[in-house]
Amino acid sequence: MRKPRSDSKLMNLPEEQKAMLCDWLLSGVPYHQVRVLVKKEFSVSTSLAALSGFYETFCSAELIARRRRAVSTADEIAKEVESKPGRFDAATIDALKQKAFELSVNPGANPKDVKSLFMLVLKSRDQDLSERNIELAREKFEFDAAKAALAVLPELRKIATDRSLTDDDKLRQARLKLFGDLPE
Amino acid sequence: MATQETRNVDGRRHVLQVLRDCDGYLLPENSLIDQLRLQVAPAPTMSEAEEWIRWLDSNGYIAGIRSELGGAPKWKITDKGKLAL
Repeated sequence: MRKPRSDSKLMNLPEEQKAMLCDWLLSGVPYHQVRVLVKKEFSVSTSLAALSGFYETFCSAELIARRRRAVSTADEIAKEVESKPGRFDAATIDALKQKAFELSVNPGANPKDVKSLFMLVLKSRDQDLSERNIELAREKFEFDAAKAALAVLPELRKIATDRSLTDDDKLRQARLKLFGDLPE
Repeated sequence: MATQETRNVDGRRHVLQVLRDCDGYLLPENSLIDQLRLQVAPAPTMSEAEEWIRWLDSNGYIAGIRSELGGAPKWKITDKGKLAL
């Protein structure tokens, strides 16, 4: 029985191994080293010509796909960032988009850098949430204070018109009426 | 066998195609040259790829931006470049 051609062996690798092979070739590992890796990792013997054929068939398409993914990753980050008006200025948004693109298009990019960029955007989202919580707490306090003031309005009027009290005393007494003793 | 001029034309076209695919984002020069070396056969030398880039820049097909803090320029395709494809 004839041995299968080494180029068809590469074309018939499982998808995961084909992707790995693409990565090696696209990250600039020389053919002779890739040949050794293929033998070691996939237990497949191949030739330099077969690797060149594989490159032409798969890697060029993968390179174009990678650029498209980089554009769409950058666009996604931009969408997330732009959904927070006022959080980032236009120049920062442009810089974030550009950085996301550069990291995504570079096969040698450090995954930590990509993570940091996403964390920056997510952190900004958390900041939005805590600001909203503070705003809600303030609204609740204002409502409670107004309610308390209405309940003791005659006493507050009396304090306000008491000429024997200094301004500081009036403030202290009004606060006491509204909110009670200070906690220890 | 392709003449050097044919190869230059082909190489410059590849530069434009790579930058067009970046959809308006700036591509750092080292990434651009890496991509040209992977896409053009036989792979261009560094100086050959740089020569294609400089030619396209000086003729208005691409535009480069250099950071105020230094480093290699980043490139994008111009409208003239898009029309040339």
